[in-house]
Amino acid sequence: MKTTDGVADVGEHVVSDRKGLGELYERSVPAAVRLAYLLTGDQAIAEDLAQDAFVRVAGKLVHLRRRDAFDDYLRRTVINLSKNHFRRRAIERAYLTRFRVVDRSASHDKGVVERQAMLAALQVLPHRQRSAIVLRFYEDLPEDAVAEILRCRPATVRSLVFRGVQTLRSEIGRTTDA
Amino acid sequence: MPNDTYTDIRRLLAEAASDVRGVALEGDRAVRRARRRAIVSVSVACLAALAVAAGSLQIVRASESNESIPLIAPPVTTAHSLVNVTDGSVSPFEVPDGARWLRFSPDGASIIFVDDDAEGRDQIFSMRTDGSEVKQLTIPGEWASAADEPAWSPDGDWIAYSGVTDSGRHAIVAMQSNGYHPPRAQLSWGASDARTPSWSADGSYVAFVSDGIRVMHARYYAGGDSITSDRPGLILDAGTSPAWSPDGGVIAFTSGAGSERRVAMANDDGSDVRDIAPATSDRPIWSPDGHLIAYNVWTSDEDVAVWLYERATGRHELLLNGASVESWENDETLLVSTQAGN
Repeated sequence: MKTTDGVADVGEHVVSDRKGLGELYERSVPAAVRLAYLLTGDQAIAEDLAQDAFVRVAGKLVHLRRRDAFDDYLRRTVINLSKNHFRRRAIERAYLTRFRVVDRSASHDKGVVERQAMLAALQVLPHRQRSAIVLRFYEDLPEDAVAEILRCRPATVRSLVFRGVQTLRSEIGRTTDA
Repeated sequence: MPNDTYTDIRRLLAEAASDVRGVALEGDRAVRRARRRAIVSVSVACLAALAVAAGSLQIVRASESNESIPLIAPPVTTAHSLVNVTDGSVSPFEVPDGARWLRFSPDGASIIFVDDDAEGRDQIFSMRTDGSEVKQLTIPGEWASAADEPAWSPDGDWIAYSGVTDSGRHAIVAMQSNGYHPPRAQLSWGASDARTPSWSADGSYVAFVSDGIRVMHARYYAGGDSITSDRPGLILDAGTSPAWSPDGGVIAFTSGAGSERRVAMANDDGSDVRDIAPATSDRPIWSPDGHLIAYNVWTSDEDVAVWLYERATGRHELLLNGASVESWENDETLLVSTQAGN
């Protein structure tokens, strides 16, 4: 989703051209899955969210005129769907419990442990902090772009990132020290 | 994390994302679903165009016709509720999916709100409170590329909102309730990045946020069909979300920022500032009779509750957990959003 190359192909003709839609899918969905994976920590859920987001956004293809609009829409839709997903707090709590069990036994490799600790720590963050961290540091978006997606001010993004990083620090420290 | 740096976070996130195994998605199925949706979308647009040609649906530019844009009703959501502040009863209230910043008209017959247009930009819409007659009032590129934070004038004839201008900054813009913008619709001249307008009780002033809270005198002309303003004046060095009391003379607002923000009040000349609610409270909204102020209290980024402040007694009362304030329908009924974090 970082690249917008080829988005000029997005348009009305793509709707009637199944091959074009398929190419758009192949180009954009893997990146959407990776974004959703960081937000949810679960690949199966991430694939569902990314696929659902693609269906929703592609359904509006003919209305998109800006070159990079499709990727922006897809990114925002993934964020919103992941938020809806985690509103079901019981599911979230059950998932976190499962995730942490897998995390401890997964590997002793330092790099793997760090990555898993990061994923686990991300899931501890409130949704908006998590989204701000992922959009800012993984998608590498500027603060104003993150603010637009999260519908807040850039100063709020700075605050969300600051608090998120603080929590990540303590959570990751706790996990890797264990 | 080896070092407490953003670089480490970037690296770990990139590595974690790369752990995603070969994406085994049902591509064909997704493409078929997307195509069906797109075709339906195009078909609806074509039908609308045919209807226009047949004269049964008139889609016209608001500024040219003094009419607003009728839309095909979007899907609705029940993520909003009406709460009776007397008995605490709650009933769902359906609005279009994605609607936010909802504001009942003074007569309670219609409601305006912000939602995405086809390109994802904020625009202002209106509808009858029964969900009928959904119309887009602001047209991107006419006075602003995006429109947000609408506020009714007390007589219901005008709507002020925060629009994104050519400079990329926000300005307070006024339009009639049907979407017509008069020639001098941009009111907040000389003020940078103007947000969250609020009308005075008699409609002769508008308060808004721009490096503090400012007030400008609204002047009507052309028999009341047009509006302009005097240069705004600063009344408070800091503060957001101003809300003018219905009986005039007092402005409630959010003072401070972050974990120190709280609902406060001041006289409308900026004097006698006093906090009226504890920290992490914001968005005060007056009941139409001016007896109550509804406001949010946040206990975390996602946990919010609606509280009431009774002006006469200074008493605070929890109204509803898991909800945030939107708009008073009347003196007894408050519309709230029940979407966490909104």
